[in-house]
Amino acid sequence: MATLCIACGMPMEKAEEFALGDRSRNYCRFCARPDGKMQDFAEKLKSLTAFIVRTQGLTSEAAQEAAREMMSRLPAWSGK
Amino acid sequence: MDAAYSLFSQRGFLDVNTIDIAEEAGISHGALFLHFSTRDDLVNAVISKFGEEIAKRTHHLSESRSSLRGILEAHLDCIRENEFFYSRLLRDIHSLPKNAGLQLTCILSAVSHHIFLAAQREIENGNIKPVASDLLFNTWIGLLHHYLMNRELFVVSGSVVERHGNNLIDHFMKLVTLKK
Repeated sequence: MATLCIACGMPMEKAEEFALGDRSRNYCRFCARPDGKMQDFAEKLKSLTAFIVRTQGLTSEAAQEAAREMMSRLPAWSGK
Repeated sequence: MDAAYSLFSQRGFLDVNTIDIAEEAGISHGALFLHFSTRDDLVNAVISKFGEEIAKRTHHLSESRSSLRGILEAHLDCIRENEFFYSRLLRDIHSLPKNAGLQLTCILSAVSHHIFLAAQREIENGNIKPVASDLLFNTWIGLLHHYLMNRELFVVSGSVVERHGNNLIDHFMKLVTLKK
């Protein structure tokens, strides 16, 4: 059964999908910095915005608005 | 949320009020607002749950189907399971609260990501034309959404995906496959 990354909502099933391949972490490899720590809000907003631009070709303004909405629903960023 | 999902699927988002939803759920109108402070909150929660489901299913199915055709089939499997809800969502999206549309954008990015991962492998193998991920996805989703949003033009009743899904995949694959 997949668990969802607290920072981007990606389902995580395989060990390699977790940060540093560590199943005890509640965030995914895409939300981890190279040292394994979770990205902060600004870093995640930037990478998620770029992800939406890349996958759908939206303007960065539209993509950032969608990224903010998505992040507002995720446990890692609630209240931010 | 199940009651709301069911009614939105049958009648669309705009023709269903909170009294209908409470009735369908077998609870009092007041009790509905113990869970959701406004109708918009409920709408957003239903879309959010749907999005989570689609993301999980697409992610899971993409593990077992690595070809582009396979992932498109997986995408259609997910849509078929929620086809009436999804079609209604597409039609009504511009009349819904803004965050409903933003949520849909995020759902589509997750799907696009999986489609492009499969396409990329085939681009590297020389089976698929080199196409940017956004245009590859927009070509597919534009085609699919046209059929879903105008379903009455393409089926008398029942599932558009059931009736036309394979043709849409065949057509899309012809567009992107490299001739050898």
